[in-house]
Amino acid sequence: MIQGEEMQQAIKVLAQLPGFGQRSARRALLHLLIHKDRKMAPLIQALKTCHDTIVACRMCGHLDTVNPCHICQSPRRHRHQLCVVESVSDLWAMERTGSYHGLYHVLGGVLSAMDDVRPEHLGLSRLIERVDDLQVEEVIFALNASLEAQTTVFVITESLPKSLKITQLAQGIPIGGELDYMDDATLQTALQRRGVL
Amino acid sequence: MITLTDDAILLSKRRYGERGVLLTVFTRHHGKRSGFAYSWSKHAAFQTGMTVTITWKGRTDQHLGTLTLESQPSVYTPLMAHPQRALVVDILCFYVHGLLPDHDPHPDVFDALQQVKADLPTHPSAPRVLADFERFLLTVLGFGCDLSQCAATGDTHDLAYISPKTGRAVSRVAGAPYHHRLLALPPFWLSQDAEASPSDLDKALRITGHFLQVCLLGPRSMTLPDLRAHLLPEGDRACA
Repeated sequence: MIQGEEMQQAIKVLAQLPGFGQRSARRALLHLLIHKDRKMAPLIQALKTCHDTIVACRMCGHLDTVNPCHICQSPRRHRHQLCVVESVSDLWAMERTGSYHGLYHVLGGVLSAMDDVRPEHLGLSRLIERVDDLQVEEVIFALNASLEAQTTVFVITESLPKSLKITQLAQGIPIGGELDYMDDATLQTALQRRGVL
Repeated sequence: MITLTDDAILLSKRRYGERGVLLTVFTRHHGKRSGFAYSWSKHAAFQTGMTVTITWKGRTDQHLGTLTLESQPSVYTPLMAHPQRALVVDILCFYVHGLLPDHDPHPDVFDALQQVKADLPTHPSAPRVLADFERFLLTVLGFGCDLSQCAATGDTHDLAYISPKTGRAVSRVAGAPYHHRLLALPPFWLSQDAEASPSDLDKALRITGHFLQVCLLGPRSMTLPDLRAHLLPEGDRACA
């Protein structure tokens, strides 16, 4: 064995990260070992800080150093709009747009008969309570365009007050998309939901 | 190397590693097949219930094999706009995935599922579609209800109940003393033209749910999907 047991263990853990395999884990570890002070020490420090300080927000499920998170606490946020997303990465994607100024709710998954994901697994009751407590006027579903996501929208919508405005992200051709390469379902949806100029 | 090409319905799609995807499809002539495909992102547009043309390749019939999917012009898109109907497709795919054996061709079930997908976007009642398919699936798998005559008297008229043990019809008179132990028979099961009220649909879904659980799902250590209760008429959900 060229690497010692300690290094083998580090490679094994690194290889489990997204984007890493055995080979890239070996390369990353070697790079960190060569630049111990410049790269490894700050990385360890940064990871330790994240480990010690970042928690899931008890209101929305977002990851932040404070609980409730900065978004939930912010007075600048529109409290009458609630955007439901599947994961924190989706929340980050929405935030990158800079176009949405309301609150979020992270579900942590979608309902699925096939995978036996039930409403209680996603804490849907907490979402319904939040809608009630915040006196939300609009719930925006920003979920993936999948059958399971549509099922989730249906189940949540049924539990929400009928007077509430419920919207969903539009489906259609992405910016820069070429019709020739578009899948049939996307093109069909885009045609059906075409807008008047 | 074995190569199969067929029309299929996508039943499930799971990530395998970071880029790979494990697919299970229900083909028209070769039954349920699973296979591996590279690139999760390439398969992002393929959703549960979608009709595709597949090419399956494997060294032997029992191998996992690799799958190549090609989309077909389908009625899938309107379903995505109706979440309740999308839920029906999700549940039907769950049944086909869980109850039909691998590699066992069931062109009748395939055609029925295709027909359901075609009818669903415009059908006035999604629960009716679900109840009809469940009843059809029970019949195909050998657990259909016998509504030809009363199990006790042989009477062919005024059938009002179904025995939860045998699946045979029971007449109103013969079943009256045991009505609390029998399943109420919805009138639209006896006459195709009869309208199905929400209460009748509830009765139908109770019968199919009972036999699916007892005869098919239970022995496989499976249960009816919880989400099915969301298709029952609102007042009946609590007792579902």
